[in-house]
Amino acid sequence: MELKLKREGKFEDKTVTSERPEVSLWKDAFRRMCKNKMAVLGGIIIIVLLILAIFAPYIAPYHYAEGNLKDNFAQPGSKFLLGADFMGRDLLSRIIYGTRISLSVGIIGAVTAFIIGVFYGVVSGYYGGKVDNIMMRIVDIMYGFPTLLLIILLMVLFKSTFAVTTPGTFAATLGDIDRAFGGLFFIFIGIGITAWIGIARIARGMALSLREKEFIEAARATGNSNLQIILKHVLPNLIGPCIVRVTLAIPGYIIYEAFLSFIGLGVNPPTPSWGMLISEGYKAMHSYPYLAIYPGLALAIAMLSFNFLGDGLRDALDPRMK
Amino acid sequence: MINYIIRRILWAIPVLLIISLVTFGLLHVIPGGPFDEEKPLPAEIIANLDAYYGLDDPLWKQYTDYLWNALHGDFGPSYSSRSRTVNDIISDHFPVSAQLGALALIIAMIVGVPLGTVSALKQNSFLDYSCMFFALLGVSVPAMTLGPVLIWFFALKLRILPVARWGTLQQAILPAFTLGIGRAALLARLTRASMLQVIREDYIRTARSKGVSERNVTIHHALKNALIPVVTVIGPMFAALVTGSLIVEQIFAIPGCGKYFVTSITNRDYPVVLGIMLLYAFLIIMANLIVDLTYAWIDPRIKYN
Amino acid sequence: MKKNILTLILSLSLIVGFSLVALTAPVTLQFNINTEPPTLDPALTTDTTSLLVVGQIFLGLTNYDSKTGEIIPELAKSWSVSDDGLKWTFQLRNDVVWTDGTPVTAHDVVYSMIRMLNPKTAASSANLLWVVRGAEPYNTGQGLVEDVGIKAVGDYTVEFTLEHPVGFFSALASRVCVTVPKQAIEKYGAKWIEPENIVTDGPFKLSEWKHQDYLVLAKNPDYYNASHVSIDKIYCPMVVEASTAMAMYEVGKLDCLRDIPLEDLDRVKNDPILSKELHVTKRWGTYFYGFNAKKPPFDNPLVRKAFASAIDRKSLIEYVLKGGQGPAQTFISPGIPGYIDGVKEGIGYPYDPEMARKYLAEAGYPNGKDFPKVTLMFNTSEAHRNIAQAIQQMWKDVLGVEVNIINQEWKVYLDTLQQNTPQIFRLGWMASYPDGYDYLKRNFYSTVLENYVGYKSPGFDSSVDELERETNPTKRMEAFLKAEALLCDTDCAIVPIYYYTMQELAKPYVVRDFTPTINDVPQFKDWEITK
Repeated sequence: MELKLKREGKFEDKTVTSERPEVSLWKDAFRRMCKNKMAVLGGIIIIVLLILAIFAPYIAPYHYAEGNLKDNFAQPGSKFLLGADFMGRDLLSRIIYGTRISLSVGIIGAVTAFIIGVFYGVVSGYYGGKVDNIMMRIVDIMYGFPTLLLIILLMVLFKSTFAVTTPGTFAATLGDIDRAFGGLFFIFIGIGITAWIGIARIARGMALSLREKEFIEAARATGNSNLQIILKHVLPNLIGPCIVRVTLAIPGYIIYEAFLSFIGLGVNPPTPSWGMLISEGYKAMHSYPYLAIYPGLALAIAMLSFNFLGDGLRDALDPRMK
Repeated sequence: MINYIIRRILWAIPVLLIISLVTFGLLHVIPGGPFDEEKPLPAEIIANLDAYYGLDDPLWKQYTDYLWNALHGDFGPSYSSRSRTVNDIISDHFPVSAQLGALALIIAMIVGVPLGTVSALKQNSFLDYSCMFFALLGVSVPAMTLGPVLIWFFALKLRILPVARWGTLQQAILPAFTLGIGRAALLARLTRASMLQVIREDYIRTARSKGVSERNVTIHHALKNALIPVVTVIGPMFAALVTGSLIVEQIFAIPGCGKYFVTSITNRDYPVVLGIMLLYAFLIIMANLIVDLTYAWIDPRIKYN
Repeated sequence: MKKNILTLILSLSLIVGFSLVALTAPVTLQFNINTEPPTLDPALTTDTTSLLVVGQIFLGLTNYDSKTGEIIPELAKSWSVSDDGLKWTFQLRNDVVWTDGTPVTAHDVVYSMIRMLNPKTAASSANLLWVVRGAEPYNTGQGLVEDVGIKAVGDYTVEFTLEHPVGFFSALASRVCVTVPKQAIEKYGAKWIEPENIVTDGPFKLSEWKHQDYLVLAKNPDYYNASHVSIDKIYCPMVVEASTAMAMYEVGKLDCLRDIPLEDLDRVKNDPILSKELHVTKRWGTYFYGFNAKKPPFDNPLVRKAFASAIDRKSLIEYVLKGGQGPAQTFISPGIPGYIDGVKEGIGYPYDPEMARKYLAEAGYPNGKDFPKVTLMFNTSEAHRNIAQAIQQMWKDVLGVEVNIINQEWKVYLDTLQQNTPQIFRLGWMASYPDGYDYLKRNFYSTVLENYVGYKSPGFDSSVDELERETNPTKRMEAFLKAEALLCDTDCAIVPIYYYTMQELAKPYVVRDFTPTINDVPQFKDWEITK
């Protein structure tokens, strides 16, 4: 903490000596993470997945919807590296395009959870008192909801109300947006509604304890507004654990989408999300196992990578692990 | 302390109320009613059915009627299973989901805790990485892939385990494993982190310097204390397993609550949906409450005022 | 030496013992019924699972021969019609008893029918009986029960008085005139169908029912034709997942399998053992796409004809459905009185990409240029999704048009069909009883609720009216021809796609026939197990 004081504008003339050379929290964390081979591997894989997602049309051998019925259930071979599905569409291409869906769900879910959760938690924890009480009661209620069941209900609602409506209305516009996203828009909303709660709790807990620390007192004494304090002191200290938590939650969001597609509440065909691919393929386990295994493998690899990265981040940011 | 417990338990009531209100509202906003059949019924017959079930009352009355009955323990009839009430359904199917959840939890513990312990003891070694890798593998392979793979391998190829359904121990193995292996990673991670922390504690160093054998140190001193955070997580984990068993129940044809929930929404069987939702919410709230209480009991420094 | 003799005696007795057990072991059939039957009350059933179980444990007035579609006696041993066609008299058997020992009489029949029409019962198929005098007013709460034309004359004769002549009333009776036990209903109320309370009169009785898990049907020794029934016990698990059921069949936990997963079909056909166990059964149902003629561009019949002609049914059946289904150009299915062979009679639109493009060009959209984006909707199911995706591709390839496909789950879908019918939507129709009138009236008659396409053709309506009253088979066929020609050809209100079939796997020791049945209810009393 004494290192931070050194940067405070008002205290620039007060130098505090320390035994260790100055290293920022993030540089230190990055250095430690690089030593963690699994985390590095996870990070590399995620970058590869991102590249696959962004450049999918250039990398994939076929378009995800192109297929000839006569090629259906083709075995893996030279024409279809991983085989073809029931409509003759190349599985590899569909998996590559599916990266887009799963990654967007994961990342957007994470970003939404982070922004809403941190904002909510900081406000609640920092201001404390009645505000905190009310806000936390709301979190308690949300916590009590069986998340899976709530998401199913919401998705049924969204799919039915906004799918086909009279043009020109608000509902229809939402429906159009959803279609533009290949059916993902409402999945984002569904996941967003439930994802922020965990982060909010953590952020609030940290804000609550930080509030009592002396440097905050000092900052207030020198006339910093609440907003400045939050931005300069509270947030930077929270961000670490929140990012860790969110990174570790990404696999959960990806699985949610897969699960929703599995029960028919996810993306619209022919959009190839991994969940859709798994739900189309798992029945073929006995006859065409590649249809069931490869999408599952892709999902597993993505989830493993995020888990390793998150674990690495957490270990790296934990001061006790020095 | 007692005050705190009572307050928390009482707080569960408004939470459940709000959950019931939100669920009720959502259900009635979703288009489609319970009696839209495969061969659509004439309007007059639907009117008859609505009257029979009180569905033609104004919504607020339906809700208050529901609450009033619920308070007396009557959670309503099922619209699709004409001869059964929600109470019948829950008492028939919830125990199955609970058993499945419990077995899955046991598997998660049997796999997760040892993996986490070994990882912690040999931190940053190859063994550490391998154990965590296996644990994470469990959480990364989705149930809808793992389940069919297991069925294919053990039931069809090797023929040593039954394909599906519920009732005998053999039938329970594959589904419990599919459901529980995901949580093993969580437990492994938690055990590892907790062990790492405990090992560095002073009293462990003291025990070692006293000459206590390494094995004793591990098991008697370290593990016991390291497992405390793990134990606190078990309650919510059980709740999560039970409320999240949908896919496993579907793939293995297990007559539990999860499978029922999805079909109830599809059938617009409002009382069943509400009943299961409230039951699961109650489970989660109680599990969270037990966790908080356990923490308070363990750590006397935490004051709850 | 002694030891050897002892062993010999023990082994012999074991062998004898086992054989005895084997000989007297109950002949059991393991049959998956997929889901939990919502109810077993014949008045309330509409879904196939409930109908399947009800079909085994209750008797109807008549039955039908699944090979010929002919109506045969069941509870009623004979029947006759008055000259004006308004009065139907059924003579009942006098040897039928309930499982509690009491005889089944004409009063039971009357009770059951009145109960079905009672608005408080809220019976789902009551409208099938509205042809009876006074039935509709009573059922809709506007008439008196005394005015309903169903009367018992003595203990074993029932008279039905109709509103107008109905040629196929005996066919109707096979589906809707099922007798229920007054004594159980009055005693137990809604719970009368639970296994400990239920009373039945059919070839099998309900012996066990573990909800959502399985049920067991046992042979009814008091059934009037019990000597004909060779199966003692039917064990019915409720496995929803088709792939799980397939695995169970392969390990011998099921003796029959009805929904063979698409992915396994090729493997089954190529497997030396499984391929011999595969049977294709025709079903009395048709899968079709409807056009909402009120929404442009489908208000233009040329557009409808273009879309209809661009569907390659053969490829669909060979690659997507793989079920040996029959391509359909007309609506009523083969085997049902009223079936018209579209190819032979030149009715309907076969696959013709040239003509399809021509129609579209004539409509003002050559090669699909400027054609608005349209929507095809279907209810959530993997099969419908597969078919929709394939046809979506066909329309793109042949016509150059973009079609959006959207699925909704069933209840929502029905709502959408009623409130805001999509431009193209998927539906299927399964026969309720063996007559084509059911197909036409229930779906496309101008005043009927289910007429989602909004078909309003006076010519069609008058043909259908004629079909209801006319009893002369030749005149009826003429009317069927006229109706189908209007529906599927001239007006192209819908495009029938295929006639349902069912692919079934059945172990070689199950002796049965594979003919179509109403609502796919198998007649287990005619099956045998040779093990």
